[in-house]
Amino acid sequence: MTFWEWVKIALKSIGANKLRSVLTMLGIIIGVGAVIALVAVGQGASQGVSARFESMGAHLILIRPVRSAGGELFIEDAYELEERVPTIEFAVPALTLSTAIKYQTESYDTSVEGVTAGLPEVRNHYPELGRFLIPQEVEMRSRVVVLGQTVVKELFGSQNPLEKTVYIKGQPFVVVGVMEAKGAAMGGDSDDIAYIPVTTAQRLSGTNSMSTIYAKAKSADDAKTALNHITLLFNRKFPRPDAVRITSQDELLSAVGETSQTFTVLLGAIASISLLVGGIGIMNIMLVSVTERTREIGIRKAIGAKKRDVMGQFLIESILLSVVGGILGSILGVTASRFISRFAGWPTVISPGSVILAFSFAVVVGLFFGVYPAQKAAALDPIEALRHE
Amino acid sequence: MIRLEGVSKIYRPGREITVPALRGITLEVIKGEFVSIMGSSGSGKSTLMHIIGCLDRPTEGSYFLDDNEISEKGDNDLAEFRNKYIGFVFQSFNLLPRLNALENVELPMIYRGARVSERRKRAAYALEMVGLSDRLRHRPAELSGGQQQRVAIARALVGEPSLFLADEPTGNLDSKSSEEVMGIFRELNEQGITIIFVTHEEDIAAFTKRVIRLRDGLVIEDQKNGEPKADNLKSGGVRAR
Repeated sequence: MTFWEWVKIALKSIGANKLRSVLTMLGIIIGVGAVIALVAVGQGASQGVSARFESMGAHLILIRPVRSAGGELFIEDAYELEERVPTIEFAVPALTLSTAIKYQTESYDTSVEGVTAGLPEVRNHYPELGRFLIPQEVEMRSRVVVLGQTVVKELFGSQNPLEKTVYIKGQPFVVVGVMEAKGAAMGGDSDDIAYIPVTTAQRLSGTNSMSTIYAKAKSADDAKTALNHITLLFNRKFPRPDAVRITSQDELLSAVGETSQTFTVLLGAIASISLLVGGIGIMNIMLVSVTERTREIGIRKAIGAKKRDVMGQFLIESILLSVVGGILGSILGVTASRFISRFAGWPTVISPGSVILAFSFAVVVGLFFGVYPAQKAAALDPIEALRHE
Repeated sequence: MIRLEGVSKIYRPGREITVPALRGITLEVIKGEFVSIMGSSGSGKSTLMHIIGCLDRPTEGSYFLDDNEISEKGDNDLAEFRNKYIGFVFQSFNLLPRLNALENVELPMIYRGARVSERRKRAAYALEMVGLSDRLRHRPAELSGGQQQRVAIARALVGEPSLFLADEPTGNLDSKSSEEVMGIFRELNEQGITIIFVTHEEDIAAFTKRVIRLRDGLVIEDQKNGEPKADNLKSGGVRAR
C-alpha cells in the first residue's frame, strides 16, 4: 500500500465528516495563526525599536560628566579621544543650553547645542536645507545656527528660514541650515533642537565645560573595545571612577533587543498553548472516530489488516487534520499580520522561521495526539470489533 | 486442509469464573469439501468459526491450516493468514459503507500489498464472477441485500483463499437472494474451493455435503449428506442457477 493511498483513505474519512473535521481543525488553525501573527507583532516591535536606535546614531557612545563626583569635560577631551582611541571614528563635544530663540516677534524655548562639524556623522542626523556647521565657523566662533524642524515650524511657519537672522541670548545668529526631520525618539522630540558652534556656545554660557561628548565607534565590535578604552582613559584623569558616565547605544540596543526578544518568545509561547489545546481537540475527535468506526476496524482486521495498517490509517488521519489545519492557520496568521499592520498601524515582521516553526509544531502536535487513538484502534480485538453495532 | 486436534476454548469473564466454549474438538476438513457447522446459539459454533478463521486462538489444542500451526502465532501473523487463506462472508455483509463495490473488493488486496493495476483487475474479475460487473461504482447502500452479499463474496474471493468461511450467509436475505447466493457458493465449490458454513438453518446445512453438529462445545454428529442437491431441491426449493 503506497503512502499516497493512505492519504487518500484518510482524506475520504475526513471528507465524510466535513463539519466535524473543520471544527477539529479550527483549534490548530487558530493556534498556528496566533503563533504567526503574535510573533510577527513581537518581531515588528523589536525591529521598530532597533531602527529607532539606529536612527539616533549607530555605535554611539555618550560620555557625560558627573559634576558631584568631580567630573568635568572639555573640548580637548573630545579631540584626545579621537586621537588616542583608534576604535573611535569621531568624537564631538557638546555644550547644551536651554534657552529661547527669537525671530522677529516669535520666541521659542528649545535646547541649543554647541557642537563641532562632525555632529551629523556621529548622530546620524544630516541637514536637509542649506548646510551644517563647518570647522572654520567653530574656530571663528561664528554666530551661525542650524535649526531642527520643530524649531523652524514654531518660528517660521512655512517661510524659508535660510539666511534669516534669529536671536539667541540677545545675540544675532544667521540660519545656515535646517536639519532633516527625525521624529520623536526616546525621551523627546529629536527635532526640537538648534546647533551652534561649540565655541560660540562657550562664550554665550560663560563656561568651558561640556555637557556631553558624543563618540562614534567604527563598528559594533569596536564599540565594546572603545567603551573599555574610554573608561580607562577617564579613570586615569579623574580620582573617582564615577566622575563620568559612559553609556553605549549598542549596549542599550542589545538590552532593548533582548527585552523585545523575550516579549516575542512570550507571545509565541502563549499562542502555542492554543496549539496544544487544538491538539487535544484532535485527540478527542480521533477517539470518537475510533469508537464510531469500531466495526470498520473489525472488518479491516478480519480481511487482513495488521496492527500497523490500522495504526497508520488513524495516525495519518490525525496528521492530515493538523497539516491541513497548519496550512490554513499559516494563511490566517499571515493575513492577520497584514491586517494588524494596516489597521492598527503596528509594524509586523513575518519571518519564514516562525511560519515553519508553527507549522511543524502543528504537525508534531497532530502526531503526538494522534498516537493514542491510533494505538487504541490498532489494539482492538477483531471479534469484539465485528460485534460492535 | 484444516485440522483441529483437541481444541478447546475457555473464556474467563471474571477472576473466578470460567466459561468453556469449546471442549476438545478434533476434526479435519480436506480440500474441496463443502461443510456446514451447525448448532444452536451457545453451542460454540461461533467460537469454532473464530478459531478456524484465525480471528482467535484456542486455549488448548492445535489448529493446523494448510500445515501451519496457528495456535502459536502472533496477532500480525494471524492477520496475514486471514488475508491469504481465509475468505470471510458474514451474515450482515460487513461492507464498508463509504467505499463502492470495487473498492470494497479491493481491500484484501490492499492489505496484501498488491499493485493498483493488479488489484483493480482482480477485483473487477471477482465482481464479474458474482455477476455484478455493472455495479462496480455502486456503494453498498445503493445495492440490494443479495447484491451486497455478492460483493462480500467477491471480496472473499479476490484473494484466492484456500478456505471460504461463511457465517449465516443467507441470514439477512430473502429467499430469492438466498438462492442466488447459495448458487454462487455451489459453483465455487465445484471449482474446488473449500467452503465452511456456520449456520443454524437446516435448509442451508442440507445444501452442503457434510454437516458437523455441535452442542455445548462438543461435536455430537459428523455426517456426510448423500445427495445434498436432490434433497435440497425437494425440501428447501433452492435451485442451482
